[in-house]
Amino acid sequence: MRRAQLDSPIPSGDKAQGETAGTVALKQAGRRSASMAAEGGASATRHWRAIGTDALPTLLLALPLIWLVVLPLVILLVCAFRPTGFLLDPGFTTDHIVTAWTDPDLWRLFARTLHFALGSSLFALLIGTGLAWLVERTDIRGAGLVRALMILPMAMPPFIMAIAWTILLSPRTGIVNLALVEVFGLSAPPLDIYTMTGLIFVEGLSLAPSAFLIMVPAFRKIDAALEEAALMSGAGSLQMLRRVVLPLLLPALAGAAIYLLIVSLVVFDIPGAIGHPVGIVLVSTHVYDLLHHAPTGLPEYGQVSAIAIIIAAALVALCLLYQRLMRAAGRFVTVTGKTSRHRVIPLGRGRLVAELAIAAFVLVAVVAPILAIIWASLLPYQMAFSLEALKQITLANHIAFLSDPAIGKTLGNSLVIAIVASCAVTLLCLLIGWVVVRTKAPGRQIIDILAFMPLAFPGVLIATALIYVYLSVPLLRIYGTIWIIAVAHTTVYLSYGSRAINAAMYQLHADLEEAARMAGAAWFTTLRRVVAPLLVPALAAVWIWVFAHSLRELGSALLLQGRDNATLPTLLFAYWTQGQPAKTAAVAVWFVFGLVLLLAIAHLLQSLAARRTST
Amino acid sequence: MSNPTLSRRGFVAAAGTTLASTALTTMPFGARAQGAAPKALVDLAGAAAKKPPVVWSESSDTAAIAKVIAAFNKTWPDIKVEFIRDTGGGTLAAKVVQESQAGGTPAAVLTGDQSQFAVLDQRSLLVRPDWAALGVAPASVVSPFMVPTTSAIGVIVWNKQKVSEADRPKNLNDLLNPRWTGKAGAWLRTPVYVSMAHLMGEAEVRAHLQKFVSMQPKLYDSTYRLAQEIGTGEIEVGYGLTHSTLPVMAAGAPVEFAFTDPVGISTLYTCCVAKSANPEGAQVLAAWLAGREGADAYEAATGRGNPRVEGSNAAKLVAGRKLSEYPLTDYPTFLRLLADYNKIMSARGAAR
Repeated sequence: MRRAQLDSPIPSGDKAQGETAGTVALKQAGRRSASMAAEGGASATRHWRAIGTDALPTLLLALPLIWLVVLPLVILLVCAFRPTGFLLDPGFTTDHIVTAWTDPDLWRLFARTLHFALGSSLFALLIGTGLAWLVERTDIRGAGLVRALMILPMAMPPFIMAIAWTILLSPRTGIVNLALVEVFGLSAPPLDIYTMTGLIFVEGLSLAPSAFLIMVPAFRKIDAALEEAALMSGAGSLQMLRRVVLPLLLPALAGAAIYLLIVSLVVFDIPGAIGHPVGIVLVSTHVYDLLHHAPTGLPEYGQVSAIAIIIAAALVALCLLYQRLMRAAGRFVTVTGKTSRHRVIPLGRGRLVAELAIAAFVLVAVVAPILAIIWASLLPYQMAFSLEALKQITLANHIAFLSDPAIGKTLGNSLVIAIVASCAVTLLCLLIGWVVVRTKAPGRQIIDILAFMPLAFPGVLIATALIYVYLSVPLLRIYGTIWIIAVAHTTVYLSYGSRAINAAMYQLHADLEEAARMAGAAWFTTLRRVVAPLLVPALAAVWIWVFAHSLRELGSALLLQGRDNATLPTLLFAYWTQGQPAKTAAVAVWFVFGLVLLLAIAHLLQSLAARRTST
Repeated sequence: MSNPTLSRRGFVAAAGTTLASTALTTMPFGARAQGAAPKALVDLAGAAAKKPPVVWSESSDTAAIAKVIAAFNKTWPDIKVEFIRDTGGGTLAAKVVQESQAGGTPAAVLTGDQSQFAVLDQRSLLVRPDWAALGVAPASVVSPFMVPTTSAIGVIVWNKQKVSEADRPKNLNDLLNPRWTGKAGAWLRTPVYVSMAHLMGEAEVRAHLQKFVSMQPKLYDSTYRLAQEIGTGEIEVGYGLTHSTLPVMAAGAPVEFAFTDPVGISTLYTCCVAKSANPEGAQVLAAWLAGREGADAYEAATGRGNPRVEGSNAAKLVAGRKLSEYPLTDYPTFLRLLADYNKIMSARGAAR
């Protein structure tokens, strides 16, 4: 309402009364002219004030985004034009850009990476969406348990997930292959994790929980009245799905698809652990080689930044596409001021099939890798599954881990970083979502792109930029502390948070906010009392997601590691690189156990909050 | 030359000897070492004691380096040392450049490979001490800005349950036998291959690598993982390193290793950073690491030894063998070969 008033044309009509006396005509004309000038001036002032008021949210959000995103990204872009790739080195060159962009091998890598990204995102989206639908919209039993179990794979750091799958599906020593050869008397192992299909499979499973978490709030918010109206109008189930449900899900689907696609384009852990040893090199592993194996002795920051620009361009294109898709935002509104109902679809006989399918998925995606890691943690050294190996199981690795004096400190560091990053991301993304989706503030599209942009840059590169930023600002002495890692995580995870919350925001009708404003609520009160409570499921999902990912994030934590800010993943990585896979597995088991506990608590709180919101 | 293997029992005995000798040398000898230290070193230590802790950065495990620092402090108790682990390859040197440029305080001591330290020296970021005056043995005075601390020693590794003693590869080129297609592995990084090129010849090593990558090997970022996968039987043979194979053997995995002829070694060095908070203490630590006491403590804690230090376990391991490593004086050739061989390794995917 307030914005409508501000946007309305400001009357600038001539208020002077007509006069007929010739002698005063000039005076009156002069007065009129002055009056018109004054009116014009006031009009311009009001106009600029209106623009200022409209732009205020953008400006307020721009400050943290400039600090968190723009500054590091500018640093990285400048690095692309430095001969050495180091920000403060002298010189200017386009060599890195030219070399990278004209290298046919790089484009072949991109083609291969696109294959991987499309495959794993599609796989993750199908699983995540399918499960979200079953859990939220159907009458399957144990939906709450499935929700909790779906989050479990998120608790496992991706490189541990990769290790688990090599234990299960390695051609010669994989437990599943050994079992299949034994049971069916095969002459050769039927499965090979060290292939592109294997990579897509593991990455898809790893990303499925993210897709699930984006899609769950979207399904939850669909108003049953719309579906019922379609059915009453004679639409069949498929037609209703195509004409009603899918369009309503478009914001979440598009957001999830774009997010998953970009994540798969830049993800390193799983391609690094499974693809790298056998030469399935993707862009991310190529970037890793440029950073860590450059023969010059220094990372090839220039080359890496040049490659990151390509990814960033793709990301901007996808973001613009997303904005275009969302332009007709009203089409996706499902939460209005009117009461809405949650429609549960009875599956009839299909319910058992669905439940069995879910059980099979949980077994494959959750239980099997966790069992594989537990198995590995009980061995004195890495070995194939056998009766001989069973005789050697030991708790030594668990005891060694639990008696490590570094545990308490690293656990504390990890928790503080995860809590700070998840709260910061959730709050920032709520504001970003509100500005981008709800206002006509100039520059909101830029805010949207900025929030999505960090995804294009590997965490290691963002950490590199942060070294410059925080060493150059004497007042902010956070370099070498846990706070710089929290800042890095906040930056890195803004992308996910903004996609998820924007999608949920598109489903809220503006009339709820307008009603609040008409009742005299200021924008912040409206946001706090109306918008935020309605978005609780999405906000909680983002908080949980960021918390879990921050707790397990390795890349930037490793680069920003100082004397006192080691985190659990860096400890885990230390064991791994030091040739202690069994001890690494033991840490992973406790890591997953702890994270499961925390996630269960968070999930419980989320459910309670959601229940309170729905009532 | 024969290629005797090092059994698990042999390793345990050797490790025990190292630990015992470390204990013997560090306890009573520590105090004597400081008393007998060159004046230049004592002066540096005096200055270092008044400064902030020496920050040491390298890739070894924090717990292992804590033991090395404890041994160092028995000789130099007034110099405090703190450790930051950096496993990121080139990022060790990169962080020093970035921190120096941005006005931060970089780590004082770095242990890593020569390619990283050469670029730091070119940027005048390293101290160039008079190593001899600091008591470093002549064999270790090989560079003005760094001293040898430890070595990666290349060895043939195999799974003894899958491969018999008679069938195992004896030398690098034995890995090219077609029977190892899809069953062999190696380190993705090629500094040890570059070292081998010094005695084997550039072209021969290049030809070896080209043939090797066509055999669908698994190439690992970490040689620890190489040794582990040989232990599980996922691959059967490989070209690995002693220090990453020994822990797998010690854990009981059915793994053995044997030296090639010649033995390719890649030395890791320690350097001192000029803009650090305590470059004096850094020099004391670097000199100590280059000596017998430091070498033994380092080897006992990390499993990595320094064959240049007479009497060290690593020196005993390679005693009487031909060692192949590109001389530091031919650094440009080293870099050229490293880039060349890395590129061959990166083409491994084409064989799949």
